[in-house]
Amino acid sequence: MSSSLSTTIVRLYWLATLLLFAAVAWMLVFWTPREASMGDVQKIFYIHLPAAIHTFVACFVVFVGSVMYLLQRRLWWDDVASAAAKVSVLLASLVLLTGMVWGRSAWGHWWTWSPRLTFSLILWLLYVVYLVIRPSIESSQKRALISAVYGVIAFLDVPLVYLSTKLLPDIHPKEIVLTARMGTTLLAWFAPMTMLAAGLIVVSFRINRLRRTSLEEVETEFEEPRLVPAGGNA
Amino acid sequence: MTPTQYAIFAYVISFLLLGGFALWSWLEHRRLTRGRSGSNPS
Repeated sequence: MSSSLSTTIVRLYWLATLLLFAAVAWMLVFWTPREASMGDVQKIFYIHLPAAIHTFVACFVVFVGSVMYLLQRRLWWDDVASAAAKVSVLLASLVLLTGMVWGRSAWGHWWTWSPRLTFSLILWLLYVVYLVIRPSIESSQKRALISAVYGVIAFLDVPLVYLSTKLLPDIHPKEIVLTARMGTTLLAWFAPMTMLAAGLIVVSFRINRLRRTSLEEVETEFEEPRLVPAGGNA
Repeated sequence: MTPTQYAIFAYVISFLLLGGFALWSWLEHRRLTRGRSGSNPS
């Protein structure tokens, strides 16, 4: 595929994502009914839930990348995992922030140590630590190995977040009853959020690959003199 | 603050977060690709 064609496809993808966001924002403001008991604050749900689901998906991509690295020892998989980890932190931040604002309005306080909120905060911290420790490990193979083992262990928190409201007493709602229009709006919000999450993982992966290639070029440049045999005709 | 104001606040911080990350990614990607094309004239 030519470079200009791929650039056009990428631009169209982001334009479509932007237009979809505009469309669902219009639906949210002008078309979706106001929930009777909570009022407009319930509308946070339409970004909160897709962000939460895509956090799980991004964590799963980290898990898959980590397992594949452990099986194949290809740095390509480490780049996949670390790209998804960045998006996991972004989306988990979004889930926590929107949840806190919703909680402040609905429950009267920004935070409570309920099982769902606590496990969600632990999930966010786990992936923040994943990203923070990576630059401190100099060897790329060692960094990839430690990250992969960590990425597999960190994923264990995802089922805990999901099951927390089902298995433990929690202030967080287990389910929300939606009217037909509310359900349609929720489904519609999944479209741009999915495109955004997937697009950001791909861009982050591309950045990882470009950085690694640049680093390898620099390392090769420094290693080149060693390849010249002493006294030989190089 | 009213429930409507809380909802607006949540969406504003959400879009700032998402938009900020998307913008940073785009700028970083552009910097790396331009750096590469600049270092390799062929």
